[in-house]
Amino acid sequence: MRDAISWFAAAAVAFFVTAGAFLLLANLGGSREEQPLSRPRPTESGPLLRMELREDQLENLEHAPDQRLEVDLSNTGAEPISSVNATVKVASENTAVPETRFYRAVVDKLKADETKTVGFEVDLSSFEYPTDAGLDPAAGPPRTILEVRATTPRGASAIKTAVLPP
Amino acid sequence: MRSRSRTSIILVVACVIGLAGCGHTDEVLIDPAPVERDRTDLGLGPGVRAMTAGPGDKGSPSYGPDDERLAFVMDGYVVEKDLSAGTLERRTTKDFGAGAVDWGHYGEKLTVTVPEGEEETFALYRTQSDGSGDMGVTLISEGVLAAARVPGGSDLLAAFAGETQSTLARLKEDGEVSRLYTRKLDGSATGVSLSPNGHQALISTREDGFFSLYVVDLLEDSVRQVARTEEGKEVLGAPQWTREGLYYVAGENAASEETPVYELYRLPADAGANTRAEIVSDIGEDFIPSNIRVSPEGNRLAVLGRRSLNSPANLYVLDLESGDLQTATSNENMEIKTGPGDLTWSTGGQSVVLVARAMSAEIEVQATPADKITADFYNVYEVPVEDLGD
Repeated sequence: MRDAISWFAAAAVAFFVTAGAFLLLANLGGSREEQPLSRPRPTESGPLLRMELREDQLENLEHAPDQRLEVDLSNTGAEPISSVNATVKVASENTAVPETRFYRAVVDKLKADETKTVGFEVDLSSFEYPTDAGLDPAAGPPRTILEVRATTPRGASAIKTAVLPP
Repeated sequence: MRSRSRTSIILVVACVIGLAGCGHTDEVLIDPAPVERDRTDLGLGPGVRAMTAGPGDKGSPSYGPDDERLAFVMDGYVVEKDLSAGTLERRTTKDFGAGAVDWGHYGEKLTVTVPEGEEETFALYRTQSDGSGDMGVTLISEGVLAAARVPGGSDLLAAFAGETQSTLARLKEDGEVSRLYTRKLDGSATGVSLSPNGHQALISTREDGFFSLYVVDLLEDSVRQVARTEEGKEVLGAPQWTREGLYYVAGENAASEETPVYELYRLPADAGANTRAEIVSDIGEDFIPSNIRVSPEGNRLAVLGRRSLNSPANLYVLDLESGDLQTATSNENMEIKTGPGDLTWSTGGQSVVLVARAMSAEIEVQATPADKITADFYNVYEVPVEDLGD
C-alpha cells in the first residue's frame, strides 16, 4: 500500500515539476513588451480627431472668389494632438476640367477635448470647361465639390465632402 | 513518518511550482471582426451593384464582348473599366466631346460618336486597339444621323443626312463603304435597329413634325413604311427589332405637352403600310415607358418607365413571348437617365445596365472622399435580371 502511494506521489511530483519548468521557461523567454493580438491602435485615430463642416454655412457660400469656409477640428481623445494639417480641395463635378484648387492650413496644437476652428478663403468661382460637346444638357450645369481632409502626424485623419449646387 | 512528511513536502513544492505559470494577468485582446454594412441597396433596390463611383456625368455604358470590360462616356471622353481589376483607363483625350460609345464586335476597338456642332449629325471614330494607352482615334465617317452595329461582325449600318432624305450605307471597320443602298428614306433618321440575322433594319425618321418607321431589306435593297405617327407625336429613342416583332415608344411631343405621356407600341415584323400598331397592354394601362432596349437573344425587352404618372421611374423586363412584366428595381429617389444609349444589356443577357443619380436639392456633408461617393453623381449600375420571378 505504501509503495503504491509512493509511486503515485512520485509520478505527480514529476508531472508538476516538468510542467512548472516549462511554464517558467516560457515566462522567462517572453518579451517584456508583449504584443497584444489585437490590431495596433494608433493613439490618435478614428474618433479622436473629429471634423465638422457645418451645412448651414455651406448654404450661404456663393460661386465667387474669397468665400469664407470654416472647419471645426476637435480632439476627442485623452492625449493632446501636436498638430493638424487641414486641406481643402475645390473641384468641378465635371472631371474633364483640368483645374483643381487646393488650400492648406495647420493647427499647431489641439489639447484633449479641445475644438479649434480653422478658416479658409476659397475661390468658388465657376470653372472653365474644355468642351460642351457631348455633355448631356439634361444633367444640368456641373456642381462644385468641396473635399476637406485633416490629418495628424501620427496618422489620424478625418474627411468631409460636400457637393454644392450650381 | 519521515517518509510521509517528505512526500507531503514534495507535493506542496510541486503544486507551488505548477501554479507559478498560471498567474499571468495581462489580457490579450482580440478585436471583434468589423461588421460589414449592407451595401446591396444603393437606392435602386437590393442586388443592384454600382459599377462606377465618384464625380462625372457618365452615360452610354457598353459591355465588352466578354462582359469583363465596360466602356462609357464621362464628361465628353471615353473611359474603359476592367471589371475584374477595377481599373479605369481613358481611351480619348478629355476634350474629345464624345456623345456615345459602343464596343466593336471583336472587343478591341470602340466606336465613338461625336456630335457635329449644332447639327443633329455626328462623326464616327474608332479607338486604337493595341492597348498601349494611346489616345489616338481614327475618323471613320461624318454626317451620320444614326448607326447600329450589324450582328455578328464589326460592320456598321449608318444613316447619312441628305437634304430632305436619309441615305443608308454599310461601313467596314475602317469606315470604307462596303455597300451603298439606293433606296432613300424620307426625313432624318433618328434611330436604327437591326434584325437578329442582320438582313433587315428598322429605322425611325423625322420629317416636318411627323415620325415614320421604315423596314429596310438590306439584301434586296428595298424599303417599306410600316408606321407614321400623328402630328405632334414623336418616336422616343431607337425602335427595337425583337424576335416577337417591332417595338417602339411614341407619344405626345415633349415640346407640346407639359408632362409628356408615351405608350409602348408593337408591330409584326412583316407589317406593311396598312398595318396598325397595337399598344402593348402587358405593361399596364397607366404605364409610361421612356426607354426600351431588346435583350441580346431578342426575346426580352428592358423597359424604363413609370407604373403611373406619379410613380418613380423603374426598370422592368418584359418577356415578349409570355407578356410577363417583371420589376427589376425598386427606386425611391433616383433619377434614371432616359437617353437611348443609357440602357444596355450585358452580352449574356444576365443583367441590364443603367445610369442614375440621387435627386436631392439639399447640401449633404458626407464623411467619404468624393471619388467613393456613388449616389450623388451619375453613375453606372448593374441590375441583375435573371431570377426576377423567384
